[in-house]
Amino acid sequence: MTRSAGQGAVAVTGLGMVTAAGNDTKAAWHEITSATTPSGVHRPEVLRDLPCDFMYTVRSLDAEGALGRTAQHMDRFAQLAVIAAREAVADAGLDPRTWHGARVAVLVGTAHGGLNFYDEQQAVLTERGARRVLPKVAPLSVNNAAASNICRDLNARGPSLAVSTACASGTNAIGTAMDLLRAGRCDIAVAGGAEALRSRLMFASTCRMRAMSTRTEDPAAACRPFDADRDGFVVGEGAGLLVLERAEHARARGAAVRAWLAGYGASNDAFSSVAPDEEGEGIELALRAALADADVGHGDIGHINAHGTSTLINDLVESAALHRVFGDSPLVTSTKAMTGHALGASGGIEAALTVLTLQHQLIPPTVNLRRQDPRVPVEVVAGAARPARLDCAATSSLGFGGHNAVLVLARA
Amino acid sequence: MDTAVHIISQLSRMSRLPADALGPEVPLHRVHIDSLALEELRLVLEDALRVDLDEVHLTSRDTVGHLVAVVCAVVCEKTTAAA
Repeated sequence: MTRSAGQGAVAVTGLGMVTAAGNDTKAAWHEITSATTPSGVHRPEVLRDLPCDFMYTVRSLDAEGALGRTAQHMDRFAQLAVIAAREAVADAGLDPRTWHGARVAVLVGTAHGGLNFYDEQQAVLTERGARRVLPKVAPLSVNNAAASNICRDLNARGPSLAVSTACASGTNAIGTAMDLLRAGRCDIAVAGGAEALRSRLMFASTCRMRAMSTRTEDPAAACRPFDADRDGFVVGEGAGLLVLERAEHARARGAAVRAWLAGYGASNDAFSSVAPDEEGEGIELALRAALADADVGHGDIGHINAHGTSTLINDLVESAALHRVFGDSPLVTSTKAMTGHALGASGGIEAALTVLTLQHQLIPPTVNLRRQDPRVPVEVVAGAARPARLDCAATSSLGFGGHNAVLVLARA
Repeated sequence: MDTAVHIISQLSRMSRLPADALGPEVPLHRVHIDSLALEELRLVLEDALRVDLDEVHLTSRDTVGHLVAVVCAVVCEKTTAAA
């Protein structure tokens, strides 16, 4: 254990990712650290004629082939979650056929759950009446479907939860898993987030909110965190899951530790249903809480994988809070220009990327950042991935409803 | 298409099992048709065969043969009524 990972740290022993930048961890990391423009932005047929008709999509993924008949009992967000969970557990060198399933927890964050099937069946109800509606709307659409399907797929019979705090869901899920591990309620936790939103209604509404980019003439350049010309976020789909273990458990089985999850902080702005508190007091509270929980100082943090959504307000509020807490020194990035804003999954994906950043000592660039907004007071990595000597890093998430969540991770 | 063949075809599609694994004596739950899937199958068959199966009593403990028999009976009844 490094100096930076204190007694309360839990081991990160496995990663699983399905993203628009790659369908597994290795492919996503390679793309996110080497590409200069995102390749995952597309115009799905379901979004045709909407003011915002593009998003980051997962391509060439044969979910039905991977999951078999169980795929038809899951909406897409749950399918992505199960595929990512399998990868994470295999990466950790764990075998669900032999593990003590009652000591394995599963916590998956999602903002919207299975709205795709919900919308499809709403149309059936409207057009054909109640008798034609399929009976599986509830089990496919509920937010806990990702967690429950992972449990069934992996024989995980310990505590299981959906965590739903909008775009902070994945980070809150990982933090809550850390709390369960520290409390001794489980030995292993599979935690992160999953999202696959393609709901026309939600796109239309969020566009009216003026939160989404409408740069329809150049979708691949639309998500540009911290850029002076940013105009909103771009939705992405994906899943990011971590295998966390109590340190003693990981040590006892000789597991390879990718990084340590050292601290967690959470807060609420108690301010607005949508907009962040412009003073940034809520996110600052979460940042400071995570540092205290990890028992590290602000000077120990060399890098932050920021929420960095590419909305005007988020990037200003978040970067100002980062500067107040950490000063000038940490190198900040947002990986959303490569993955899209995967909403409830973003915290899981970005935690996994932060683990990889510490492992490889390489910070992914903020793609699409051409001219940094002069009001953003932190150093943002742009252009190309930057090697750096990092002992500790943080990742932050902010969600509608004022939810803020921060994780501190340390090099193994 | 023969009604029985049609039913087996739909059952095969839902269960992802070949038709020869869907013998008449096999309980539906053994071929992954639980109570939820059974209600979905009911709607699929209604659409495909243009019949109303709402009053047909079925459980996942019933066999494939029973499913075929009761659905065929409804189809026959409808055909007879129309003749």
